[in-house]
Amino acid sequence: MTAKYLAVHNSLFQHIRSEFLSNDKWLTQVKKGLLELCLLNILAREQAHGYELVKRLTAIPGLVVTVGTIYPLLNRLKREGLLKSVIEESTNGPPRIIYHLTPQGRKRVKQINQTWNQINEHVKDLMIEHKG
Amino acid sequence: MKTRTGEAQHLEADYLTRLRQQLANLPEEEINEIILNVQQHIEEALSELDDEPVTLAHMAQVIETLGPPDSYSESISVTQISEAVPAPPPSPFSIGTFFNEALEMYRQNFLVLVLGALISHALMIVSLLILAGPIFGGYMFMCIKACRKPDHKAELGDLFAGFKQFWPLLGLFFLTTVCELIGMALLIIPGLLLFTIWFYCFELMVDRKLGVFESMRQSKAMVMENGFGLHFVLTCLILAMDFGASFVPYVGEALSLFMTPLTCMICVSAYLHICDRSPENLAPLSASD
Repeated sequence: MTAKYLAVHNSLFQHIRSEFLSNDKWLTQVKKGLLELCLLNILAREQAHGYELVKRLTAIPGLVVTVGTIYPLLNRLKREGLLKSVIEESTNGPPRIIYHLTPQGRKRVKQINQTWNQINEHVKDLMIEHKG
Repeated sequence: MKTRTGEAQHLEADYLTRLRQQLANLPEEEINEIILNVQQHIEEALSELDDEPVTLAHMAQVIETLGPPDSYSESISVTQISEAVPAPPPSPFSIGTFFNEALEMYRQNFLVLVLGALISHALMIVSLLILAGPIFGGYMFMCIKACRKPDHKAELGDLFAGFKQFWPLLGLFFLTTVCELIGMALLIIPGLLLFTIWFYCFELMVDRKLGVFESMRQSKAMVMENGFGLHFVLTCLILAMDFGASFVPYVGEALSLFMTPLTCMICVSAYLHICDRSPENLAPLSASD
């Protein structure tokens, strides 16, 4: 039993690690920056728990590098005062942590959306120029 | 909550342990929140599966979506780019580096480390060495945890963390000590070789929660991969410091109380250079345990 467990375990971690490391660094950085923008925008609409957020974010093609990027991000945003969390007890499993935006978080969403729109517009123009 | 097979439970527990180790330098509250989120994630993902009990394959599938434990700490460092200062270049893997780092940690935690050594020595003597393994393991755990914490503060309570692995540490202590003493009796060199190859076995057992033989095997692999010669010299220096101190007339015992924290910190510094700064150097777990 142990041998089987270890065989699965080792091959699994090797596989995940090689998948993760094969990503282009630049792309990884871009994705991680965008992840924050998307996460804050989801929470600007409604509060959500970790798994819900992960499902919605991983549904965006090519955005998330691994799920492991999302949970630490939630912690950082909480530490920065952009999010707050409450623990909701569950009868059939571990308690859920529900996240919602703070007023400071809402302000930040507005700011980063504005910045993103500006940059995006100019970058698009550049790309068109380049094509032409 | 879905029931799991033993193998699935084992894989889940192992993943959470590795994750906790990976996040060790974060505040306890943040670690707990990430772990809770991951446990909830696993539970929700499993609830979407039809079969019960959850098998090893199901659990592996869920854990694959979570990503490797090191991706959690990598994401922390990457998402903090805006506030990050450039990381200092890694210090070289050399005896001088280990001594410098150990001295710095010793200076910062002098009182706790010496008090810990005093309690350890007393408990080992009173218990006729029965508690030596768990206490020594606890001391190592205290040093490792302190080195990984951002404020580098050692906590005396961690000295007793080895009691959670009482039997493995007891076994490891007596097995390695008996072999090393026999080796020393055979004209010293075989003993020194054994001391060298089992240089990291206590650190590995308390830090990675490995079994007796797996700790010994991994320790040997780490020593061989990172320079047997360097480890041999380091072992000789540490033994000379430890034994040398205790042989000083009249004050030997007292002197060794001050030397133990330094030698333990040197071992921990070398261990962390390999494990935390280049985890790929760790040998894969074998199926033999």
